[in-house]
Amino acid sequence: MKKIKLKKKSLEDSLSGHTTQVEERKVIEVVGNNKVTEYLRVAEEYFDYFKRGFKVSLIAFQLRETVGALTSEEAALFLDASKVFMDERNYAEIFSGFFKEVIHGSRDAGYREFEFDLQGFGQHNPFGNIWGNVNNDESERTKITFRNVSNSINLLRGCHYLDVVVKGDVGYGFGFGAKNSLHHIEGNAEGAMGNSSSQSKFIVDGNIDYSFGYNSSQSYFDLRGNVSSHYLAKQAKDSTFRIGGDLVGDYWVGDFNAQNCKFISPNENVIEYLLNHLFFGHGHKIYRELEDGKLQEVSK
Amino acid sequence: MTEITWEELAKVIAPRVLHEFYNPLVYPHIKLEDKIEGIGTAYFDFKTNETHVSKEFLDQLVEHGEMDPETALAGIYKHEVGHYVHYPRECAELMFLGHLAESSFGEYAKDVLAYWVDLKDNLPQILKEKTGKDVRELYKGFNLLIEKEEDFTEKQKEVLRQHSKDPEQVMEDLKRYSIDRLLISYYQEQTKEDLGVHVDDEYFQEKLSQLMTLDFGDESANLQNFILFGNYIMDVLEKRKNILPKSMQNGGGGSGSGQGEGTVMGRPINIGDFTDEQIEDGLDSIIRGKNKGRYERVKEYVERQTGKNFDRTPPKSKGKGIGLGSSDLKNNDDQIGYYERLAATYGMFIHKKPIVVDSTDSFPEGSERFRVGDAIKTLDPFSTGGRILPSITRRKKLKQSHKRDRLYKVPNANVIIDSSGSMEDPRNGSNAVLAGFILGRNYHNNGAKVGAVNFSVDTAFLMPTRELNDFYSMMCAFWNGGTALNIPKIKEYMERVAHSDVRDMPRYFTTEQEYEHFLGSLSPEKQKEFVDKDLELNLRGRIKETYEKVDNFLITDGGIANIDEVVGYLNSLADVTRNTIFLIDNSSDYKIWTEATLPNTQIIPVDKPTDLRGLAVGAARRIVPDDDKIESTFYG
Repeated sequence: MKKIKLKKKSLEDSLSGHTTQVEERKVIEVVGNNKVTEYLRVAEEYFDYFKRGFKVSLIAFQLRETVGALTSEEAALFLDASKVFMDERNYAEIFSGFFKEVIHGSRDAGYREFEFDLQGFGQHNPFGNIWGNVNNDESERTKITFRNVSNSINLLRGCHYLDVVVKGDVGYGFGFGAKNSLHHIEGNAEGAMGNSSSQSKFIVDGNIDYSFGYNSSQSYFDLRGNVSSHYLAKQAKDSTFRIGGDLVGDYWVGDFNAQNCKFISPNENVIEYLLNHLFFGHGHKIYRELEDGKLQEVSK
Repeated sequence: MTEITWEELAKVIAPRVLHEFYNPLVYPHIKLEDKIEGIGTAYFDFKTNETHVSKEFLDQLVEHGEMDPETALAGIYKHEVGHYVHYPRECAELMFLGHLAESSFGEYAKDVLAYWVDLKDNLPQILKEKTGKDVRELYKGFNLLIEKEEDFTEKQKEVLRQHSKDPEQVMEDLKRYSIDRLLISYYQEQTKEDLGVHVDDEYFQEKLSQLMTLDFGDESANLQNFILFGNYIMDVLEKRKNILPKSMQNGGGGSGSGQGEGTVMGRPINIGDFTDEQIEDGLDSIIRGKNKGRYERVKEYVERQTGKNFDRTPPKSKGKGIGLGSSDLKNNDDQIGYYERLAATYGMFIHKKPIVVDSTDSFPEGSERFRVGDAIKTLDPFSTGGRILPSITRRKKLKQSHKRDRLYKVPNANVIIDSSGSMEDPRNGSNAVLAGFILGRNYHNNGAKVGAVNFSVDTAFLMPTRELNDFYSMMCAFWNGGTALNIPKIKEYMERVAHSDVRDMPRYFTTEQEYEHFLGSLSPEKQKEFVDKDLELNLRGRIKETYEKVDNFLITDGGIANIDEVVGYLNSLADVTRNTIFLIDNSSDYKIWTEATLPNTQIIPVDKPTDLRGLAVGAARRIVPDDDKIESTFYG
């Protein structure tokens, strides 16, 4: 058996372990201020403040004044770490109010690009009304990129002047009531997308389910996959619908209340279907998209 | 200079280290192995509480890490036993962090968790001046090992060149993006002792300063710190991953112990390293502290990690009742596992009460010759004039008979649960269902039968039974309708309990149609017995005994349409039975219920699960008869 050589011990080493002693340990040294930690501490307390009726805007204001606004990266980190609060009662409702103030503070501080990963939040993500009616003009336009939002519902309601990129699929009710906003979904979309939107653009790289663009006005829907829609463009006014793939399933294009919409497709089957089923006399126009990208009107 | 084997040294080191840890319940033995495949260094086995150490790694530390053997072995042993003493100690923490890591760190989840566990284990040790010296020296030696990392083999260099990578640059980058060095550097900052890490790289320093902003000693911020820590080092892990071509990742890099996947001290601790019993305990701990959604996510994570099922759902009973298919009652049997586990973490004290039961009584009847081996207490010395004469003295023959007597027993439980639309759906974590499970489980464990009434506008009944799973099923079922407790039906139910000679009685029945169907199946005499009844409670004879044998529980949010009728019913029961009302999520109505001055009725407001802790059922002094004596049917 292999032998190892031991060094000679000092007297102190020889004695150590033979006497009973309680040894104090040093305190962990913390250097610098971690803004995210501070925000998390206040957010945790906010669950109590909320029940006592404290105004979230005042708390967030104090926080920004003392700690400073979070950068885009810090905001993402803050959101991720907030998962630890998900056991709190009414987590999504309470935390979304706080988070809304946090990222609006960041926007005011000049951070206009955010990226959020919603993995692990499920339907409890705090993004339902987070950007609703907040940006008032073009100068406040903000870009948000989302990942892992597929099972979220009613994501981003009432957004103004917002550019949204979704890496992956979106759930039901995405982009309800959007204004002057751009949405690019790099996956599939569930139903009720872009309902009641105005002057907004929705690009869907994948397929889309039923009922989208309901009650929209002056919006543009570029649907690059297949569309299995009931009530496509119902009550839509002055909106444009480009369908890149097929129209499949049982659907009902437009209705008596839809007006002046444009329908574009490079797909002859879609054009034929639209020609046969679209309600005419409402100012709708149908265009064939040619290979060079130009449009050729084919309306009757 | 003494020459000694690692085994001999281990016999000296193990008790010394355990003494420094104040002798935890770990056998002082280090399991030395020539080489630990797939791990390389050392690990603590939570199933056996043994530490396994690779002698090859020890030799490396001595040879290249310039450590003396005693310090190397003591340092490793302290680190490994630290997992038992300091962190994670048990698997609940690991499960919880594991499921968080999975959603936050994706493919890096295991690495982040492993580094976190090592950091939390090491910090309390290295910050101690004397006893932490071995661990500090270990990391100093380990850093030297990384510095002296051997170059790639010729074959590996060729693979790298094929991928247009310069082997020297790759090795340099691997060292640059080493989490091990980053953490050793962090220890260096904390201990103010030179552990040999001197890196001026801006990126490295930025990461170090990020770690320095976290207070890892703040246990109240443990979870938040974990996520921030993971986010800070995930960036490094990602960069590190992109250095090597895919064919050389996952150990293919083979550039020695320090540069492969995993942490300084061997493999990451997995949930699978714990016994099923330890995992069950861990899940119990989580279910008690977290909400339902969180518990289910953690359980799913654990089941994915171990490939095992950890539901505690009891086996399905074979009993059949009248079908509920036509009713609106929605069964939620898949929720039983959750509530069963959660209820198991709640204790409860049930006061016994005097109830009429069949008891056995012994009396002497005749005699026979006493034989060797017979109970001496049966010997009758008077049969031989006070002397004991072998083969002559006789013994008494004891006979047993049954008698009805009033004895202190735990009564059966009758749990009346409100499952109207205003109550929380059992799927969302219901305090009402939890209360029902706690009651059912504790009465059942005390040998009593458990019956249930699940009401909304319609009512479903479960006769008192020892089939606990049937009871659980009834507790989880949900009507989701209006709220009216059908008192005549409750009375019928109690009478049916009293007439337990109805052998063909179904396990439960619900709607009017099903009830009529049930009646139709009975003989005309029995039908008459069930249908012709006075709505006033007739507390005589067998019915009274039945009520006495039952503790009644009403679990409701209080919004009952016919509340006056319910109060009247409870009042009329007060002389013979103990009533408890669990008022769920409606403490504002507590005053109304208490002002109704219900005699012999305990009202417990439940707003949160913790309100169900430490329950005691039955105020004994209030049910003992006035003359301070137990009324006995035997002695009249």
